[in-house]
Amino acid sequence: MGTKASRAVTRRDLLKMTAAGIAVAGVASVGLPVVAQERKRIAIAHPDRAADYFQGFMNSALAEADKRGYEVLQSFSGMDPQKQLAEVNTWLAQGFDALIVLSLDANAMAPIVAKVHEQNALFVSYANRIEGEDGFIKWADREAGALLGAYTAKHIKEKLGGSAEVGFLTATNIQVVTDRIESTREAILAELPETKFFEATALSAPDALKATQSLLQAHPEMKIVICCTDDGALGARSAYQNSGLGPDNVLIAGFDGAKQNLELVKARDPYLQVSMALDIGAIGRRVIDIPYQLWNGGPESETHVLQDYTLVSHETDEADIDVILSVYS
Amino acid sequence: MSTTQTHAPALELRGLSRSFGPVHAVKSVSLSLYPGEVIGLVGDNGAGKSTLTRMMAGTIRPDTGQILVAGENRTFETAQDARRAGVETVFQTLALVPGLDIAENIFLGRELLVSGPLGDMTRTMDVATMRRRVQEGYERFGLGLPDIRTKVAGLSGGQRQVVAIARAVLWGSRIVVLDEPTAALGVKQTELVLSFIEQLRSHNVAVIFISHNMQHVMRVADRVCVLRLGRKVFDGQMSALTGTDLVALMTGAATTVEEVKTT
Amino acid sequence: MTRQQILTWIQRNGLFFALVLLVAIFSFASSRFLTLPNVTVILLQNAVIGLIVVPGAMLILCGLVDLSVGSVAVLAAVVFGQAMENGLGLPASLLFGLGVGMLWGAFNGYLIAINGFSPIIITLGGLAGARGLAEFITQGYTTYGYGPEFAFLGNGKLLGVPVPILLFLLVLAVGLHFWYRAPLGRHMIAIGGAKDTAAELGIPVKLVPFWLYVASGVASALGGLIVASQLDGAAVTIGTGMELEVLTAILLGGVSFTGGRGSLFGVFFGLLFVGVLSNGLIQINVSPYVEQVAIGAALCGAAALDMLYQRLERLQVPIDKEPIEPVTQGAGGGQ
Repeated sequence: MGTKASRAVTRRDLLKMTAAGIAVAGVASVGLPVVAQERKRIAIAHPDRAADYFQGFMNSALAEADKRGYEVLQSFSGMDPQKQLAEVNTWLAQGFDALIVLSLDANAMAPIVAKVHEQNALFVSYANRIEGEDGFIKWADREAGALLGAYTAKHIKEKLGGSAEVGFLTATNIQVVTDRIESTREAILAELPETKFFEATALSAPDALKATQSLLQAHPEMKIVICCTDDGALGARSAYQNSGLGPDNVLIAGFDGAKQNLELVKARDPYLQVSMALDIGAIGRRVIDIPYQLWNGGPESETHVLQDYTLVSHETDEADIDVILSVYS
Repeated sequence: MSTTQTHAPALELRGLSRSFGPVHAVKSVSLSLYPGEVIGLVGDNGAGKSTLTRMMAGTIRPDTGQILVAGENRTFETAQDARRAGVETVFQTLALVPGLDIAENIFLGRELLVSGPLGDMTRTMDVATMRRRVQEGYERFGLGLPDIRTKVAGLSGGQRQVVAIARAVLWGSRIVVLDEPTAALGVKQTELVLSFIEQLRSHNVAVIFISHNMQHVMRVADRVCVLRLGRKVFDGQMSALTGTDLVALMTGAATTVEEVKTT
Repeated sequence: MTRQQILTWIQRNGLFFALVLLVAIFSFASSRFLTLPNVTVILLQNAVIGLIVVPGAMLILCGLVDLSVGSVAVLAAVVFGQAMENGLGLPASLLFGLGVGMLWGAFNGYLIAINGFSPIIITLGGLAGARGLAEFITQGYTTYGYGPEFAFLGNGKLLGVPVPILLFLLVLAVGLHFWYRAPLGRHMIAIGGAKDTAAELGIPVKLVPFWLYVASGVASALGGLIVASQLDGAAVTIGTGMELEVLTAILLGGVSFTGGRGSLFGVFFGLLFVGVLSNGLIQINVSPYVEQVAIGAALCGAAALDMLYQRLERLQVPIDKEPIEPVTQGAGGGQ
């Protein structure tokens, strides 16, 4: 009996303590934002934390935020559009001054834009355009495609006698990806209208490996593979390496400027010769700078940013590649 | 029957009792079962039939009393113990897997491996021998079942019942306890099961046949044992009784029949 | 033949003939399709999924499922990569990679098979958890460049046959043996179709699924290591969507999702069907949209056949009369 009673008391005490804890937390949650209001809060919804450029990007953004005296909220939602929406709504409840979002479902963003504006905060879209945005940072995908297409055409003329079969590894439902691939195709066709193209779906290295294996079976003369991502380019490279075909004048190109790809280009890999690189450090700084410019009446060129790609190839100096690589160290 | 009665009983229950809390489900029941004999075990709901059955099957243990198999005292801790002792109980659930065929079901959980260390190491089954054994069983008992490779899912209720009983017998059990084997079966299906039970008798198997249906009991049983409120109220030759007598004993309307007719 | 027999025949052999038809169409459309190098490539492309499909199909036969395969594959690859990076050497790193798969499988098995947790919830947790752990370990930095010895696992050849294909065929052969020739096959059908009965008959209804989960974990880890070897890098994209590819092959192969029925030969044909379809569609250069639609249509077709078959099985159990004409079937489709 004695133990039972004392246990009950303990449990009741615990309950009391829990209630007290909840009360304290409630007071704190009401009280703390008042303190925090003095620093502006920027929420960055970049869900792809597994991307190899992510740390470089985030370090650069945090450094810039420190400089400006802003507080940064980071995303942990992962690549699920539903979770991203839930996370943004949580942030909305907490309150923030600017939202930078790589939206996984652009169509679902309209209500978020409205809610952000209701709170007198800024909506900045990242990597694509959202209606009602206050500013954006987006990659110059079509311009990059034009650059890569011209480079490829030059490769075909100089190394392959002016005619070639080109394989594209793409995805049909992502705007960034189709922009990259379509503009490359147009640029090649502009110079070499006779070029033959083949397409397969692949974003990741394992998928690109399989797709390139299949393409090579059907078209053993195919010397050029353009991948919509650098990860895919790595898969295509594995397929060539293990196909038994020699590297003679093969050109594999990808987009993003991933670490492993840049190092392969720097080492003058006979297969993987091009990566369309973005300056990750600059993007990280921009993400903080765009809200700063908007709050301080900066010009539109500083708030509506089209970030250029750098074509990194065997013609690029090793020292220049090292500069781009420095963001990964 | 007089010839078999001179042998030791195949199964003997001595003073089995079992209570669940204040409820005395079975009170000091004794019963002897001889090879080649079919005993009908009857009683109203709550008479203690299923408790007695479960004690014989090894799924519950008696509070007091003994179970003797071929004259030897046995304790059943689990259903496996009862099976190993040679007492096989076929419950209404039948324990058959519909997705497997007849032969596979009969050997399920006791598959034969190819002899020799290689068969043992690779766990290779001796499918041919298993099928042959089942086929032999078909012939020995004159089973009217479809091909041994028919899936149990494709069998009728009566055929499934026969497969479940045949499994017990083919595994060498000389004592088979059948729990309501004809419940929920139609006329033709019932006939299939009852004629198989008669076959068992001619192969010297001892059968306890538990049923609600007086007609079925009178058709196959040599002896009948009536339970009422946990006690055995009658145990004697079937031939001495009529259906009306049985019902009277079960319901308790005529306890006096016991004194008149027990041997 | 009666209508029932025709339908049963379609259910048992339909996929095989669909596969033959598909191969015929692609061979007609492209002269390079039915060549030894391309057949080798198709097998190579599906070897990794094939390795994982064998224990996966056994789990589904038992009425269970493992959705964590792709995430365990990437976790094993990443752990292997980190071990190599830290100079543990190839043999120890391989053991680490496979060990992670085994441990995760044992964890799944302990919770699901021994303690009765829901297989969907636990392995869905693994799907998110193992990949999250892999991403946490890499911190975004992929390891790569493991040297020629490790490259042999994914790219090497023995007697002219690529090593992944040999590994797959070995696992398939062992799987076929256990499915059709060892007591395990019948026990799995019993566990999936009538678990209480199986337990009553002394079949280890907990240990069999436990070891199958361990096998599934090890196979996933091996698959992840093979892909890492092929790419010469432990990319975090390894194993993405693998659980769906595995399930597609199994369900297309006619293994009932509720357990208790299915053939491993059917699963093999299901695997080949998807592999031939995606390879062939690239060969004839059609829109990438078509592949998804075609696989979806094939799955719907398989589901419809499965439902028909189940209805047939019910029809064959008249309560009060003999079956009109019992359908006889062998112990396994491949005998």
